[in-house]
Amino acid sequence: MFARLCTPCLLALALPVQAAGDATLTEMSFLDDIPVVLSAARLVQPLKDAPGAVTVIDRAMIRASGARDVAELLTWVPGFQVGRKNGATALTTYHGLSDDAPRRMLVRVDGRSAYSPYFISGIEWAKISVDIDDIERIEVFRGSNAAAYGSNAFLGVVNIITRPAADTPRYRVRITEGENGIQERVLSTRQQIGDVTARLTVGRQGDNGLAPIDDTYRNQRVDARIDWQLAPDQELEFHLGFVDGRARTGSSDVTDPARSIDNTTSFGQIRWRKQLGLGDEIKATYFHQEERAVDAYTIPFLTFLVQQGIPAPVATFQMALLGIAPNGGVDVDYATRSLRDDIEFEHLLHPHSDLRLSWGAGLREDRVASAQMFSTDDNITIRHARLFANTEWQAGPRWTLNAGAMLEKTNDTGPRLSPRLAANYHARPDTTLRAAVSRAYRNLTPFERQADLRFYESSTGKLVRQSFQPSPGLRPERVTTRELGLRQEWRGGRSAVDLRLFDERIEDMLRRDTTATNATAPVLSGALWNGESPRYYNGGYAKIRGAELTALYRPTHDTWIGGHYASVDINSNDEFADRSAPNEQFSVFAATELFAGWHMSISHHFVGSMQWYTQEKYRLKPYRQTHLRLARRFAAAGVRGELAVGVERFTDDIADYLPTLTRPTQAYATLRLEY
Amino acid sequence: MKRSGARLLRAVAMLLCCMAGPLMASPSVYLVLSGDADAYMRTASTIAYTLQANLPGVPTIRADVDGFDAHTPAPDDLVITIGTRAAQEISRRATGARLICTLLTEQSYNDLPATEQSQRTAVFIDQPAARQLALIRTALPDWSRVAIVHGNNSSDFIRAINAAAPAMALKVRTAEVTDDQTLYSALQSVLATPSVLLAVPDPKVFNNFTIQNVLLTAYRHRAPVIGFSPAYVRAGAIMAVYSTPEQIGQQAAELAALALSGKPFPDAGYPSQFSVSINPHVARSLSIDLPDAATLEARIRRQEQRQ
Repeated sequence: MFARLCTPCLLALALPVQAAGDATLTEMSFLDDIPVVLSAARLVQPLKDAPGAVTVIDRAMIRASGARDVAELLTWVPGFQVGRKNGATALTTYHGLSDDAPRRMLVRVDGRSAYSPYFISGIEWAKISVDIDDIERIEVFRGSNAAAYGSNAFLGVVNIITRPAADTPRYRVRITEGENGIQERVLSTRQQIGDVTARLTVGRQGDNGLAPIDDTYRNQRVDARIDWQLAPDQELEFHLGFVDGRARTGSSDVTDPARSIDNTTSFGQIRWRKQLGLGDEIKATYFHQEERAVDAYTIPFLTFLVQQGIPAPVATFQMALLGIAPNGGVDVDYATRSLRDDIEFEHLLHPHSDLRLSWGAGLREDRVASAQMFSTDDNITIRHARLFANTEWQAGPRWTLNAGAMLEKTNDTGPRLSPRLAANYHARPDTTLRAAVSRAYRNLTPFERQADLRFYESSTGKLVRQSFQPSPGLRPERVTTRELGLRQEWRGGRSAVDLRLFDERIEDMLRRDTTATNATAPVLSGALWNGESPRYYNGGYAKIRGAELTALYRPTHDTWIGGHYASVDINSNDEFADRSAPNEQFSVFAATELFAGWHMSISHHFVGSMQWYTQEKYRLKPYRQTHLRLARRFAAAGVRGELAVGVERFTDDIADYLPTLTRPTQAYATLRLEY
Repeated sequence: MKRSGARLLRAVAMLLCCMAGPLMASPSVYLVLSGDADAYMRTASTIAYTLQANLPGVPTIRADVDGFDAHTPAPDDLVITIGTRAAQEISRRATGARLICTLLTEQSYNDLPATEQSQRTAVFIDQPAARQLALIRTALPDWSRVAIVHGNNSSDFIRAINAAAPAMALKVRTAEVTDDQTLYSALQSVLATPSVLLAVPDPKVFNNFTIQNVLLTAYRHRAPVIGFSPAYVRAGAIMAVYSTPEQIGQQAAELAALALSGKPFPDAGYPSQFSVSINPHVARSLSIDLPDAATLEARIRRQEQRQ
């Protein structure tokens, strides 16, 4: 499948290669128009003017980290918790409040929401097709940013910005081999045909997952970006991606047998942008995304009863009494399919030299189907409309004011307005004090509203159990954020210290309770199920308070030392929420060129005790992890290369999801070649 | 009525003959354009307008280089070429008239077939190295390093920059793009320490395709880029000093007027008038406070006048 998909693409792109421009200097070099490269959308708002705390991880840092996926990089950002549910599934959350389905933060790739509000999990990192080497930078906005990005940006936003096709090497190969089955092969090529520049990256990665469970996984990815310069001030961007994942899961438990889950994600995005003047632009974006997963198995009833400790003859007798055929059982089919279409228009303008305004509107439709999860063969359709505007006003040399709001409406909930107001006071040119207040809503996922997980015995057609029931009438969760910040910069922002003090109050937070089922189907046996099942209700609250301090000293592009410290205190009426983030965590990281061509980087992280689930047995001990990497860079005959060796969790194994699941020390070697 | 009409015609004819005498005796100025590009037209219009305003008796005749007969100009006429191709063609055809070349690079001018110096001069399109460094010094006083990536055709430019830099207290670091050293490596090596990247008008290194790499790599390193045209500033350079076709046309017209008044040609040179463009959005994103363009122009001009 993978080979079939890739070969024609590579051939198509490999054919015509254009020489780079006319090589004779004439007056036209001085007179011709050239494409707008640093359009307003590509420019980073100076962090001292941003309406909140932002952490930027750039390419040099990504490379030095040795990270193989973006989720791992979030350990560099204060306030983030990162765990591994299994080899294929990274969990990330900001300020806790997450189980194995983080859904209170947003990830965007080139403006496309990678939030999958379809089923359980909000952010599925493994479904992102972009290769880590194609990323230009990652901007992490710490705190609610619904005013700019909508309701899923509830507690934080990770913005991934990829490199333009023209800004990538003509050929790139990356090969990683390591302990624990770490294996990665990535091939990328960039070609230019006239005004069209295209990049195609294909990759395959996987490892053996976590030590105690059978969770080996392999992902195959294709990611393409095509930039078509229609005119110096006009561009069409195409993004295409495909991920095919296969992961082992399950155990010896008959209700969760050892098996493979297959899933595919694909998307296509087209964006048109036009510069209207220096700094003004309009853009229109449309994307379509499809996700499918296959996960079907049968639970033989007899085996199930035997595993419950009932002797086989007794179990057979009980089955006969209940009218269950000897080969009867429960057919489970977690097959899911979801389609998303999204269209957005945005206009960025400067009505005055010190006023910047961006406004826009968007529509989205999600169609979700899973007979098992929703007990219906029909699509569940969610339509979502949004209207937004954000302004930044340089109110004199000392003040920057940011104000914005997002108005959203779905077919489930009425209109909700998420506003934000922030004031930045520049006490000195490099010293900024900021204060911000915002209100945001989180629109609930179809699972949260409509989950109806029923399991029927196949030979009798009777209901064995319902493990989740619908929760009608839920209101969106609401967060009110107040924060103060202090930022001191040096060397034009290259080095900085940033302090964020925050108070986040979440109301109408979802909690679970267990109540009589809504199901009216005949129940197989009251002994197997008491007729109650969990559902959500808006009864929770959480007050999150704390401080985050970051520091970075970066004398050159490839040399830095930095770190962060976060102190978070969660007070909630939900026992689970209270301990969902560590009270303290810190990181230090450094990189330097030891000798010419020899680059070393090291990072050390401490995470205090926390838990992803309520029960005490799931409490994680505090842990420390140290990563070390040494790289030799070289160049010869136009080929640039880097051979790196690294060790992850240098000192010890750690458990970052469940106490029983450990992530071992593992060494790896990576070879990168670019031409 | 008929008779009075005939008288009027005779009077007009007489008048025209009287006027045509001195006109035909005075030299003409031929504007020879390399093509119909907008910049050529703007240069020609400025020259024609300026000459008309200062020397109303001197006819200016506009022609395309392909349709221009080299035998048309008389020895005391002036030919002003606009663009490289016109300069090359007219120099090759040796019209015998004196020649002012405009809107061509210094290098293109030096490559023209040899001729007597008194017969030919030029207003280049490129800017003097000192002016570009003065822009950096004036606009970015906190930056002391200038990074340059260039091809093998830019040795004159690099020499001029290296010669002018010490006087401005600027350190220059250069890297040549060769078969062995790619543009990427060259950029990495010069931008390793915080520097201002000075774009070189060398199409082997800076062209429509590479400009993305250059501007993005520099931006990634937080290095401001100094362009050499307003298009660079639109594209993402922080600023540029350049001369517009109008400014070059104005200077060419002044040269023509001097020549017509009998003065000898000065040496070929850089444009004396120039403009500065800045990109405030890029500057702000890099946390750089820039004076406005007019202030920068005035400061550089004052500096040049002092020298």
